[in-house]
Amino acid sequence: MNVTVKYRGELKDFTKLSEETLSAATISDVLNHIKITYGKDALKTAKRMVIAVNGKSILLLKNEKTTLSDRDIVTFLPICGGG
Amino acid sequence: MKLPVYAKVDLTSKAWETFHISEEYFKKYIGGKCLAARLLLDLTEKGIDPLSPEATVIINTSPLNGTASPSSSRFNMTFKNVLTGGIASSNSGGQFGVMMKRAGFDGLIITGKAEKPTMLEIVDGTVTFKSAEDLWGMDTEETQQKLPKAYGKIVIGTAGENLVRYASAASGERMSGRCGTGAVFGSKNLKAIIAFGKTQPEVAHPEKFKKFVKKWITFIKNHPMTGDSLPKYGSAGIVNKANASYALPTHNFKYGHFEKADATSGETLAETRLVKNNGCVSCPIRCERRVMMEGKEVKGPEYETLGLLGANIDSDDLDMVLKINYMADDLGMDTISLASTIAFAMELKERGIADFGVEFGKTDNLPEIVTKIAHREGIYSDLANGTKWLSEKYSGAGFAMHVKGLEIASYEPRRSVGMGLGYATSNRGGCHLNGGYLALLESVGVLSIDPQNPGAKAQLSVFMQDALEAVSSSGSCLFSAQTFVPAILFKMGPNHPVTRFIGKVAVHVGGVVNLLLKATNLICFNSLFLLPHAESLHLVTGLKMKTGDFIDLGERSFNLERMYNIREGLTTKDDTLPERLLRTRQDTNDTSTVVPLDKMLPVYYKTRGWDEKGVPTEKKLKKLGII
Ligand code: SF4
Repeated sequence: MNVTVKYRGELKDFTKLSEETLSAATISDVLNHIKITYGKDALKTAKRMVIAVNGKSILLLKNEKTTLSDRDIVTFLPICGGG
Repeated sequence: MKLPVYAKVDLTSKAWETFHISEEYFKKYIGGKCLAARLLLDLTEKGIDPLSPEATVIINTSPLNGTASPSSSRFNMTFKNVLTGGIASSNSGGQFGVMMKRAGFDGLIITGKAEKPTMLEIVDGTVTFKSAEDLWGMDTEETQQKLPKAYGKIVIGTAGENLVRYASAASGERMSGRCGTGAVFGSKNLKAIIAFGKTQPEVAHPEKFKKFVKKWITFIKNHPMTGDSLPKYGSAGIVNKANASYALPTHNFKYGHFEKADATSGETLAETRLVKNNGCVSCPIRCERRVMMEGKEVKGPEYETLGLLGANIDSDDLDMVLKINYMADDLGMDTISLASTIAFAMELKERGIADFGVEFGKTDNLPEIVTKIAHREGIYSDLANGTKWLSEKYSGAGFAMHVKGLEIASYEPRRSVGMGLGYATSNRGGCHLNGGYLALLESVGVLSIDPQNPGAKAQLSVFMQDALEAVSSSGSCLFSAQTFVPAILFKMGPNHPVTRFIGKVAVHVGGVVNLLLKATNLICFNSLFLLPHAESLHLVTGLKMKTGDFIDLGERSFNLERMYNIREGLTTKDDTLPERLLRTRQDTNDTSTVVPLDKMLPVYYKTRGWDEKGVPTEKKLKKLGII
């Protein structure tokens, strides 16, 4: 599946890209890509962020096992607070 | 121990006198909203009109205000809520509170109505009545520019003068936003209060306090929430997470997710409009956004404003959010109530019930409409009365998104059912903070305590409401309490199996939380990891103040405010939510996407030690020392 991955917050410091297109069937594949391409620290950062598929948190889907379809958008977002 | 001294001001007779707080009251109620609720109950008659001369507004500080305690500049205003008829407390991080204290008063109790526009000047333990006729008609920015720079100020703008029911009061660029503070000032012809002084607050244990503050600031700066995400993104950073959790009110709370939400998110704001961050006096967190708006550097919007002027009106127009946020502050109007009232009017139009010229997704005419609301021009005078009033005139109660009359903040409770319970039981109406802010633990923070499961939500709400009530009463910003979410969870992230496990099991901890609430005397220690405010209060006042005592203080405050509401005729029927949230599923295929309030409310009353009608029992009030 060709998916677009968008990097926000501190993950962008590792990727130096705001987004890229890659082939991935699940969120695990995307995380694996991050580990291989940008290193273990990038993976650690990615894992502690909010991960959304087409704007929906993977917590409401199947976490890292969430499957992806062609043209899906995967976004990594920082955790925030306030209120 | 120096006891608080207030000034009791009568605007009608232009007279004032000092008002001493007794040792008993100081020890029991400390200051801020807790002490103010006690005073409002004591000093006012039942059933008065909140905009009548008899109405009283208490503006007060807490022992921590003006000290080096972190994030401790918040001063409080308590009065009869213009929108709900119950109690209102509204706090602000502006300079006024600290300056009033330096000028010799810990609080003001203001009643009556001035014959002509008036300003109060507080200097060296004296109150002077001054004419404000030349300021009348000016908005909050211009008014403050005309006043002496070094003074702390509270002023109202056009909206307050015209008694817009959700008018706010400004102190610098900080707003005392909710419940109609500005309208109360306007009804009294009170345009401004200014204060100046140099007296430093007393600290009972100065050396220990200095050391403690240093430790606490380091702790705040090292915590991922207060040391990293709040300074970087402010509360605005919540937009995308709330959207990902389907907890971002969209289309007047019909949905919880907006496809274009990223356009009005904290990340987009930081990447495209942010100039720098800033903060209230004595705050190491500095969550305020300084942004560019039409070539001018202004204070940026908070999460609530971005959500309610973005997704909730189907808009991705970030520049318009910045503009309306600025205009609302300048005209002196609460952005939450304003935006929510506009969303309701949009739905009235969509359903063919009434046409105020506003439509979902259309923003170009909003500046003109907002100005007309502040001036109560023509039909826009109706919008100046808020959502509840509008729904009573035009129908639509089921989708009028308020509780008790106060518009609901920007958290969709069908994806945060504990937040739903919090809204329903909050003493000032649809407020997330007074409601215990469980959304932070359910849907918009690092932890997700099963958002659609009512388990333990009653007990957690009580705990959080009491804790936040105590933090407010101490004069501290509620954001400083967010360090109680362990830093390790941020290191693991929301998707980590341990974080998810905690979220799953937490719905079973109701019994434990209940036991803890009943035996607060067992929490006979203070810790940076829980509520450091307790230790700060102890060191400043010299009073015994362990974390358990601190939570008791919050419980006392919450019960006092409840007693005021009951006195004014609010009942269990008012502890509810709009039909849309109780009966219409957010996701038509998922039966759990409604707020099961009927399941949570009886447990909540029981946990609070209230009877089945939601009235605090005599036993409870005696235990709290209220009677
Ligand atoms: S955290 Fe933000 S709102 Fe709170 S005191 Fe600090 S700057 Fe002010």
